[in-house]
Amino acid sequence: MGQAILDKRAREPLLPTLVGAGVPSLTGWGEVVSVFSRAVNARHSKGLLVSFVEDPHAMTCLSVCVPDLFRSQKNRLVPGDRVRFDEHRIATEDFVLDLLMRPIWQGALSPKDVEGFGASKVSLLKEALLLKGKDGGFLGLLRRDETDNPFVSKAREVLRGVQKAPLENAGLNSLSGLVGLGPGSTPSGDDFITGVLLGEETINLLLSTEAKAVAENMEPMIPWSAEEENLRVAMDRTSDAGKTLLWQALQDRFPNYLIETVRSVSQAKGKLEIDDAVERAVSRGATSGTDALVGFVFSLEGRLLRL
Amino acid sequence: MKKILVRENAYYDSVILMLATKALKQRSGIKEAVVAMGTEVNLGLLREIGLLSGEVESAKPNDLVIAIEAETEEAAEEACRIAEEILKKKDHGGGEEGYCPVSLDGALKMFPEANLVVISVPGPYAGREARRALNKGLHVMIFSDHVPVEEEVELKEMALERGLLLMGPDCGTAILNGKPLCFANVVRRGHIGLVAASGSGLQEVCCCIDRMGGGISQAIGTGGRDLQERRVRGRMMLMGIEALSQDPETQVIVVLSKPPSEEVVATVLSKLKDAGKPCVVHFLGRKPSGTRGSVRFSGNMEEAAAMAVAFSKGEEYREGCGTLSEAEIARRVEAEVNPMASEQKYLRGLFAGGTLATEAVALFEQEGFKILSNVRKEPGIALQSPHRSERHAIVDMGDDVFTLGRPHPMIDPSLREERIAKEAADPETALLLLDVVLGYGAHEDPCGPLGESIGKAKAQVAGRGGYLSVIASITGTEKDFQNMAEQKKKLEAAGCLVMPSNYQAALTALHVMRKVTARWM
Amino acid sequence: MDVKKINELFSKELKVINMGLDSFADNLRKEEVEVLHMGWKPPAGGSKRLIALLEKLDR
Repeated sequence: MGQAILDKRAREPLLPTLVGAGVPSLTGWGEVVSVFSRAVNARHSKGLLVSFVEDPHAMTCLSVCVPDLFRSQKNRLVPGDRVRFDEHRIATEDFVLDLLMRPIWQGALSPKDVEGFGASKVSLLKEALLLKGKDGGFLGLLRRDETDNPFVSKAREVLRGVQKAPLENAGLNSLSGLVGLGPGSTPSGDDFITGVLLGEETINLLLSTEAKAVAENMEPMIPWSAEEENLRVAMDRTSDAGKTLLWQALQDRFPNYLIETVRSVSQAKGKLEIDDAVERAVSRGATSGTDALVGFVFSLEGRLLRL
Repeated sequence: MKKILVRENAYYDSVILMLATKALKQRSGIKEAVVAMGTEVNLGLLREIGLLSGEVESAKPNDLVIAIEAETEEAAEEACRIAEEILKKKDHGGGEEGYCPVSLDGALKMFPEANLVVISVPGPYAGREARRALNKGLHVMIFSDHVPVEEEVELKEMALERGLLLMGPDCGTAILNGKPLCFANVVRRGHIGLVAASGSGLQEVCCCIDRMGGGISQAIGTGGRDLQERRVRGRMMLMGIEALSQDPETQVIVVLSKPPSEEVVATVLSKLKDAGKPCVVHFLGRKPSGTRGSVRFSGNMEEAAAMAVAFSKGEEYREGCGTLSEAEIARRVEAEVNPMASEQKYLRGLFAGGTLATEAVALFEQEGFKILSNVRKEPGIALQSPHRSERHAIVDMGDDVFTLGRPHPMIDPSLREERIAKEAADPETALLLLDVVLGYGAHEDPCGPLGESIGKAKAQVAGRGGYLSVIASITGTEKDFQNMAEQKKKLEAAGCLVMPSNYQAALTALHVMRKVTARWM
Repeated sequence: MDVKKINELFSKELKVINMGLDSFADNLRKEEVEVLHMGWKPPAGGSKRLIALLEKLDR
């Protein structure tokens, strides 16, 4: 009896509009681990999360922007669904994404993005952040007052240790002590470190060749070569989301919202525009945006003000 | 008082985690609340503030840790409960209603307590999905037809091995634990269990049982091919009978099917005898052949229901359960035939339910009428074209030939409306015999449009100086959403004679046709 | 013939996963049956070859 009344649904082809630069090199199996209304995360066997996103503003270099996936209420993936990565193809049981010839999204900061950035903007940024930043993460690090947030206290401890330790002993009390620290599915510490790395990259792009040479002779607030090694090791001690963020940041790749924030602040002609940029950034996640900007300010204050 | 929960491999939106933390901290009696991922450094922190214990020590970076320090035990318990509630609501994110997983694995992650899968995807895919469901230890109902018979055999073997139900393929009706599945009616719960290889037949028998005051314990569908196909050998029928014989709620077992091959009949009857409960068997189109111990044969579906109800009350069955007296029947028949024109001489049965059509064909043939139909394919009996009625014809309008690209007549009355108009245009049509099926799956108001076309048809025939007799039955209960009483009124308002069962409608039609034919003697 | 699991089902509440026509899920909800409706689509875009490969993975 059934044939005539059975529904015939046509399968929609899913076309990625943007492909993160880190995606086409992935091969192997993955599994969907979390699903949200505008993003789906699949965990690759390396422990990195590849996200399918609806909004290009949510891009990272491990994301694929596929608006079609979110169009129909019923075309949803669910945790447990298997995903196959084959460099230029991503396949699930229900769709295949062809990445070949699709626009690549680099996720790197460019010299244009930092044109106009300067010390005065950093203080405006910090002010806006203190005002609009979300509590619960590492915002307390920018304040002098004591907070009742155990994570902030711990983070202070770590950072004090970093500043005091001589270069050779940067192991124990290194920034890596912040990896995995804090609330959130991406722990605050990971966002903070990403912000610090973003600040470092911003400075790198800003400094002219000669100025760079001078800067290199100065003692960095945070000793870098030793840090990076520890950070890489520490990556495995945090959540998948944190690891994914750090993996990209250590290669100088940042989520779109952070790049956009730097660009907006650089181009800002006054306080209002900086306020807006900060407000947009801190609306990210629960405290992700706030924590990243705290790290950003932290590293910029340490370096720029010394110049 | 400290309480710590760990949720493994939990993937939550940070906003939700923040909300959960806030909600916990705000509660009176809570000194400290930490909701965070189980990373080494977070665990270290928890240890430092004295919130680390037992299972938390082994938490991993992708696990969620909820650590609460409260003033009292109750406050701590309550806080944990709240945290779980908040997290459960937003489990796997999205926050939208009607979230539809795409794979069975995904569905089971969301709904691990599931125990039955209902499959109505296109036939070529149904087998695979059913296999997966069986592998996961779930009972299955396959509504889909056009599943290859080899797959059906394989699936039923699997089901047998695992002791699971596989109702189908091509199983349109079932009622389990009092709940109607797919095309089924809302019927009283009781002690009569049924196993049927026919959907509309199962509906008809269940509705009759309900009307007669009885109730259904379980109504298991086996799929149309279960007893017909040599290779399937009645596997699900046998399992169904076994389950009903073990079921403490079932006191009477009813079996309904088209006549199976002899060897299958033997195994089925043998199984029924071992059931240790009174059994009623109805093989459509076959006359009853006495009793075999506790197994009784019925001559029609209404009788099967009547027998079952009697047995369930511990009573003896008495024949002749018709609603109308002989005198009343005679009066109605007079009224129908007298106004007919002399050319009018043929019966035209237009059915939505294949089994209901078969019952009507069987009755007329038993009484000596030659019926042309599409329910059987033998030459001389089959209609030359199912689209055109010839002589006495009974048509199953749910047949594939009609439903390709069109909804089934149970869902959409327009198919039958067109045919009614055609029959009315034929001056030799004397009587229209119809079935109406209510319940879940069926049209929300079948008698509305049907009543209208009956009215039009009668008017057309009256305009020619004749009279079109229309007799119908309604398969349904007063609990069905279409409002059975209203539906009956609509048909009667159009001049249709409505009988309480398919059998009685066919029987009344038979009386009418006998009188019509007698005019020619 | 072991029908224990079937009799177990008879004594429990039905909890249904519905694959196909969504009206079946709607009707179950009206009868207060807990039901999860799936967003089923033909696997592998209906490609028979891919389906066969996926089958092998299943078994």
